Amino acid sequence: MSVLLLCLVVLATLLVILSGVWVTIALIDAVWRVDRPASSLSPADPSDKSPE
Amino acid sequence: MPVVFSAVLVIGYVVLLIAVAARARTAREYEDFSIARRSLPLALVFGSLCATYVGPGFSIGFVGRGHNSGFLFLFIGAAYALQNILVGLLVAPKLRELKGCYTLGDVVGQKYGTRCQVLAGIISVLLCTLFSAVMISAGGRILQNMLGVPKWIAVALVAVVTTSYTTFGGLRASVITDAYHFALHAFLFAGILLYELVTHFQGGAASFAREAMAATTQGFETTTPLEICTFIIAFLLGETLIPPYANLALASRTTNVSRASFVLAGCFAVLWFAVMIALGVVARPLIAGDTSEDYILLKLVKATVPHAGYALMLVMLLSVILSSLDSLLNAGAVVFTQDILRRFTARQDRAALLAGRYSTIVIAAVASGLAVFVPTVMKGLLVCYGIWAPAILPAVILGLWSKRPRPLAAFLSMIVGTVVGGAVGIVFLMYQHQGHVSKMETPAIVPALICSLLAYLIGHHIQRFVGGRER
Repeated sequence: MSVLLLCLVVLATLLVILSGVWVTIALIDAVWRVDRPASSLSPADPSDKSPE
Repeated sequence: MPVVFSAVLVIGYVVLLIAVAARARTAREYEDFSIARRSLPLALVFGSLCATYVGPGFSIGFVGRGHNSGFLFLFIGAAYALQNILVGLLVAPKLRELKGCYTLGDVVGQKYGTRCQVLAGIISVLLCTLFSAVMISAGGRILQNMLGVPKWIAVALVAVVTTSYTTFGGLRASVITDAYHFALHAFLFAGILLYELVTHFQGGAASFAREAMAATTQGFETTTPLEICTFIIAFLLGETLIPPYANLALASRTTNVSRASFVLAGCFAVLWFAVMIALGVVARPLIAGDTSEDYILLKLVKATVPHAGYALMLVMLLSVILSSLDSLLNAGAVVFTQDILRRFTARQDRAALLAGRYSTIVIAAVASGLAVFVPTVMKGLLVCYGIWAPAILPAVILGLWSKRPRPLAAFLSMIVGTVVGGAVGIVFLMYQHQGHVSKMETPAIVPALICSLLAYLIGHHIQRFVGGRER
């Protein structure tokens, strides 16, 4: 039981780090492409389910 | 050597922040400034949402709670996660589907008319300014303690740094710097927990479970059921759809991004609370038991990372505060421009963009002035929570789901929610100051929400029976 608790805490910690990695990759992508015409922050794809 | 390492850490943080903010580019159109052209991808919306809600309370506060109450606050914090998931499933996609909406006030305006939109705008700007004052106050205290500068200089430093990039870059700069801060939170806080578990915590899994059990038992013994209910309600409703979150829902690239970002942010909240509480549990055998809750994390880091403890804490805490503050300033400026100014003037894009920039500076200046009077971070936040949910949520949520929303209902609900929430919050603070009630019992949100819902129902039926102009 005690091992399980610590394992869950370590798992939560690793998932937090993984989320950080995911957002960092998106951040680098956004900062890298910010000057390009087709950047990741460009307006939404019209084929997406979006009203605008 | 330690001084050099600390200096490199702090300078590196500031240089990277400036570089990221500069790359975010100046907003050249109002749509760019206010909703980043509705182009934000999932990872950035998720990062910005999480970075905004991880303020001093959800970091330093939760480590302190973990130290004294163990995993009790994981159950209470689950209410916050649930709120995000419900908003993601039920509200955020509906907001994103509405055409031509820049703010929550626009949603109110589409459902109830211009007068209600202006009222929602005034309440939102007031709340964003109060929330910003609380954040600037928290940041000012940290700088004052760590650098030894007078409070007004510390407050001015925090306000000027955040305002500079938010004023020019708008929502895009706020979201990109939030993503940077989110990554820092994730790596630094999680890294410190792993470091403590591997190098300083003695006894392994059995010792951790023993400490966690002792702390949780102590938490249930020292927290009354009323306090637990108050916390759960405050976590469930207090920050629901506050202007920065609503703006992110509206600025998402698609409805699916809007939905998924809130659901993932809710799931992340549980992981985050678990890590913060575990840090508090790990700190129990390492630091003195009588340490104040707000200083548990600081003392833990100073005791176990002696060479760069201060610098590390400075970076962690500033990152936590700036990421919340920039979103609040941008949301307040957009709401002021869109829901108040644009109803009467500044309808041209260029004029609206300029108005948004000037509003950011004015809100930051007013919030800096108010920051000096904020008693404590938690008290300031509880007053804000007590006003926001009763004032806005009934009108917005019932309006989104109602087939024939009636303006009188929304108008009465917003007025009654604001007045009762503000009055009850202030009365409770005064009673707390005199020692008549516990420091945790601030259930302003409950009576104010009940009054607001009653006012909505009364207004709805009056307009239904008396008739008159619908909008």
